[in-house]
Amino acid sequence: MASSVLGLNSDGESLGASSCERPGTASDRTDEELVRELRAGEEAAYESLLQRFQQPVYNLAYRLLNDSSDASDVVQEVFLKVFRNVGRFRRQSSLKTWIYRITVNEAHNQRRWFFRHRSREVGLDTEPEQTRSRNVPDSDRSPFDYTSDRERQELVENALAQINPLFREVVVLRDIEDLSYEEIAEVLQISLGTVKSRILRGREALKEGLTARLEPEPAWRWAPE
Amino acid sequence: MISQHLAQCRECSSYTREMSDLHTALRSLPVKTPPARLITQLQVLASRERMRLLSRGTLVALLHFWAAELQLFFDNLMRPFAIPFAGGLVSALFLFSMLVPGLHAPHRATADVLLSGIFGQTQATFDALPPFGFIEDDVTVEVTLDRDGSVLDYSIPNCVNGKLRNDIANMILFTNFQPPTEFGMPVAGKVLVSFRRDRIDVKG
Repeated sequence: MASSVLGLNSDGESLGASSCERPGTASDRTDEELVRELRAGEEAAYESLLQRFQQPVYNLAYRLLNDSSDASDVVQEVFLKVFRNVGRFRRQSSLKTWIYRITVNEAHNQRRWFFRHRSREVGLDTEPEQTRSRNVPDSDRSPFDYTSDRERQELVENALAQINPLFREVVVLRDIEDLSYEEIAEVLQISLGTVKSRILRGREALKEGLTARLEPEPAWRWAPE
Repeated sequence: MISQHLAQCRECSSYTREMSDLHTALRSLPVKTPPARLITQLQVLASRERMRLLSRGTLVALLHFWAAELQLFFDNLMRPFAIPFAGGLVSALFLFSMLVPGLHAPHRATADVLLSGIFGQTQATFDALPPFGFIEDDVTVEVTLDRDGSVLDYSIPNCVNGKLRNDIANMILFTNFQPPTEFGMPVAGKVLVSFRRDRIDVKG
């Protein structure tokens, strides 16, 4: 039933898996239209919501938790809450910030649950990570450039995963998800000044982490003879 | 004004450049694409939630929903009791059926007379024997009754002599027979009556 309702093709691949939204479906609807259609139970609205938000929500959850399986769990919880509570959405904020707020809260819960229960478990999920670069690949770039970029991305990801979660949230929302200060304040339910303060401190912490990782190893050491 | 300051202050300029590089590095991180399995799970979730919403949309749908929920609750509640209840009921029926023949009221025969049967659904009975002394030998007589219990005919074996024949005729004449019944209604039938020295057998 799900495949017919929400556009699974015969191979089980999703139409929504593509990064490109079909013109005239997801991107043309305003938040109000989308919410109204969701409340009416229209099939296209559900598909549109997934197409519009499943990738950014997953990306945000992954950046906050740094684990694909945890991020998947969070995304499912987020959309379950969105579907069940869309009738109570009061439109005091945009749909995007509302969904992001749910995502951040669910990531909080997941992190707390992780530290209580799963911190000593080892995952068996070996599904390869799927990533998509923001930039169009340049055919003129050399393998060295690709390797260098990859190493730099890993450094940044590792440094980002090491900073305080409170700072990581604002840095991810600002520098990766490109939300404005006001939107971040709405998502996190904190004041604008706190947002700015946390962004500054988060970036400082990130810079320190990167600097520590990029300091070259000493070429020689004193050793006792 | 800020740009003028940055042009003059090397420290601030360096800091701004570092932050800009950091922002660029963060922006260049690859976008994580949700796994295909997650996308499928989300579509299934959306479909299920949509059906759930539609099932509660109108009053009739809501009533159907609550009826189904109540039925499911009752089924889940009764399932643990179903097998013990069925087993107990079958056991009770079995034991009751075993005990019923023992509970049947014993047949009451008077004056050492045994009614052993009659054609039809129920046995014929008689109310009283005539107060005659009796008979020197064993004789079996076939008596034909109508639906009122009156004797229509009887047949006595030819070997019976005249006095005994008259005694038997008197016995039959003064005996009150109850006709057999079929489905609760009296019907005509035949009765075999055995006269013995000390008792009478009636066989249907």
